[in-house]
Amino acid sequence: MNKYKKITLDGLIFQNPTFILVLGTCPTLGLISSAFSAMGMGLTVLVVLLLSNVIISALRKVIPNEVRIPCYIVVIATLVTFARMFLEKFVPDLYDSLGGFLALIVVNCIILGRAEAFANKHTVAEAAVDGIANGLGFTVSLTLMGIICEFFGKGSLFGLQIMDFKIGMLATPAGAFLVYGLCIAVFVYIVDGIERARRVKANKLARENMLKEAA
Amino acid sequence: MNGKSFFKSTTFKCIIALLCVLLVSGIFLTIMNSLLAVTPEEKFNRAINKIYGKAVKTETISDIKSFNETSPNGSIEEAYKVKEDGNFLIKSTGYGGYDNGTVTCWVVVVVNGGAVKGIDKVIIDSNKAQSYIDRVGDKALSQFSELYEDGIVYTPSLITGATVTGTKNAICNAVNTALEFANVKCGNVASEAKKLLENIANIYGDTKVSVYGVDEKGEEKLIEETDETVKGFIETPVTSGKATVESLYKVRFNDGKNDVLHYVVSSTGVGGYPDGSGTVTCLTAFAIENGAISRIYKVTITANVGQSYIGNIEHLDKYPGADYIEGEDMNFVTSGATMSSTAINNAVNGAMRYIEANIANLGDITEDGDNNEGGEENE
Repeated sequence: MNKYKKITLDGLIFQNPTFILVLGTCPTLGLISSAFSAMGMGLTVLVVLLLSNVIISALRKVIPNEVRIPCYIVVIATLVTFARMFLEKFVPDLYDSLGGFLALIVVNCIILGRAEAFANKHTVAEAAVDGIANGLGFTVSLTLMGIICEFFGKGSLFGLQIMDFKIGMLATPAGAFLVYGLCIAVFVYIVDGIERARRVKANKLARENMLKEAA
Repeated sequence: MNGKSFFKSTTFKCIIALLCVLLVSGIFLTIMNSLLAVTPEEKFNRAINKIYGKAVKTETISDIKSFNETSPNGSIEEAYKVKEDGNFLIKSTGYGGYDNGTVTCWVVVVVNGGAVKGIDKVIIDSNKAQSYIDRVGDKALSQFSELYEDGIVYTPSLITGATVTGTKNAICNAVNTALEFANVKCGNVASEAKKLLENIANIYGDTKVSVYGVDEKGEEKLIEETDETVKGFIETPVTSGKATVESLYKVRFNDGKNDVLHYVVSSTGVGGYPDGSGTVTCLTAFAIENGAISRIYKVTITANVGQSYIGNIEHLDKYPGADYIEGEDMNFVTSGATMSSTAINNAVNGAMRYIEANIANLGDITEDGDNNEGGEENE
């Protein structure tokens, strides 16, 4: 499989930061009561993750191994501060709705995790693809849960009131926790099914090859 | 290690790498800050646009500083008079939010004929430490306009549809502060005496009562709305238990059979949220019979510092129901607001201990106190 395709699929599905690796749970539980906030947080993380991965990958041969973590944190904190300034200037509504969670992106495990586990060992292009894939995986997961929580918890979608029926608890962190758990269960079930199908297919192919070789 | 080997060492490389990263980051952020900084004018225009949907002409209202010095639950940041409609556009910060944070709001106070007539809009501008501020939506904020009535003091329990009591408390404080400021500017401020009589009237409802304090000479006098200043039976605040007792007034009314004497005491209890430093000020009415306290008639909260969950308090009606035993404290708790409950208990018990210690000197209302017109109930 093409390595970029593999990086992309890993970030989006097989190593999905939210549902498989269960990283970045703090903003997940705090923000998914609103689809707009969830998507905004996801996209902000995507941009910060992409830029941090690119910068760290580009500097991987310059930064001594002993001080790599402090350097990564400075880079990530700089990017998050830039993201805050940008949102406050151009998207003030989103800036207000993200509140304290925006600054907390600095300590988001996904960003430091990808910098340490991937970006400092791969080329800039690979790190960029990884950043986009993981960022998209995080954004899609958060938005999906945000839609579920907002729809059933508030009866609205992206702030637009759709129905009067609502289950108030789903708009609270406790409800978000429940939805998060259910989404993980469904996602893992689906991914497990896909991987099982892939293994069966690979085994079948290997058996056919062995039979061919034997013949 | 000599100088040359140090410059070739990993330590030196690490220091240089870290300094370079810090320097580049610092320069980048400095440039970005100058490019992306949101100026106060820009913030003001955004708020105006949100409220009016267009630019409007305003004139600045002065004397904010002196108002803020006497405002315990919030402060005014900016205040303008909108030239088009004469309304006041006030940016006020409310204290006592979640984790002792604050919320800053733009409040449009409707002013008509030189008097405050309502609230047109409340918009959240910024906050400190309010992680769930996004839960206070337009629906919750619109209730400030819908619920407005003359003399209203907003509390978190009045505003429904947002389950963030602490944040709502800060917003209510911001709106209350803005309303108070607008009233001051319109000259509608109740005199000290009027405020006291209103607070006491809240305790007794429809029952007509006469309230007694002391005059400049220290002699008992009937307090009237027109009095410019008002003085109780305590000259300077006194520490009593875990409370400061600020003032004491004597109240007389007819319960249908007899003339009844009450002492109404204003006291501030410590021990409140978040770390025991918060306070709650209560007005407690004590029924006095045969020169001693017979029971607590009513307890009301008049102010608080930093008590985010004060709106949850629901045990105030337990004090009048409890048996009074001399020297014994009354302690009640509202679950979910335990520290505020402690401060209230301290305020009530402090007032009780003060009366017990001084009741011999305080006595009944003297005939001399009934020395002016309006004392109908005492004749």
